[in-house]
Amino acid sequence: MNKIWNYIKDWFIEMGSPPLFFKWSSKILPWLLFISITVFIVGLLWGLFYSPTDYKQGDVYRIIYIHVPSAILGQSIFMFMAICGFITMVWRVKISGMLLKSAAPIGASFTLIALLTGSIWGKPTWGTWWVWDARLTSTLILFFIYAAIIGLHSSIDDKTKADRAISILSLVGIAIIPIIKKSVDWWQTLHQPSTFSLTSAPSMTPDMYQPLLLCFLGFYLIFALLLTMNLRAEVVIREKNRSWVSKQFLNLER
Amino acid sequence: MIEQISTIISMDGNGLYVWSCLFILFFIIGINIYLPNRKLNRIYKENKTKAQ
Repeated sequence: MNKIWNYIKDWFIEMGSPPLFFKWSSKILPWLLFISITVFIVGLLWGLFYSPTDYKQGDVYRIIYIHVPSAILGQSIFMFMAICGFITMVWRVKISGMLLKSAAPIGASFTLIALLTGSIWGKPTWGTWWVWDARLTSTLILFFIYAAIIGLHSSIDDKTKADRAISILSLVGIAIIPIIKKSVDWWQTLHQPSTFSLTSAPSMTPDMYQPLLLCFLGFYLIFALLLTMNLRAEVVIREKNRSWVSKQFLNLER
Repeated sequence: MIEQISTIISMDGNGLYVWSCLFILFFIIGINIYLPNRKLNRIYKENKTKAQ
């Protein structure tokens, strides 16, 4: 057990070095691309074509296989960013700042997908595209926080200072996550209660629930893929004047 | 066969909603794949020009 822990610790320390991360990610990327796209597509196909039709909503409920994983991923990415922000502030690990910066557009994208697909789902079920409901409004605020993080980082030239600034914003912004989560309990909302709960059994039948779980896995893998790609680009941009970049790029990488 | 495909596409009259969600998902993920690759390509070209 101790050996495994030491191995994990060493791996994390190694990944803190941009050249080692770049080298490692070059090896892992094709595998990650293959696995993530396969799980993602299989999950979506299963949910969209092979899961049973809902007796109340009909086929429109199938939007759940896109909307719910996107919404939960949008929130998870923010929590991940807050952890990176904490590491950047406390230990000043260079790559954690790059991770935070790279994760922000992905988190914003999945939150936007959740907002748009939720809006499309709302039209046939609620009869409206948008209501200023607590869940919808708090998710919109999360999207604005993501936009603020992206904007703030690009407005500061010194990247170390920019990393610290967005670390603070992500640590302050984390307060929105419990509000989103609890919004359906604290306020009277049009939005249904949470689909997932750690304390109670799922309200869906297994043949609807299983593809949803696979979709979750697929979405998280897609996030890992996008994060690796974004981080590689960020590492190269920041270290472009270092000798290892031209070496890996011109001799090994391509 | 054609009937089966049209049933899948129409999804009981809800096809437009479901397919547009799928389109949005793939479109946004596509952008997220394209942008970092474009950045890497730009740096690659810059480095290549410098090396030459």
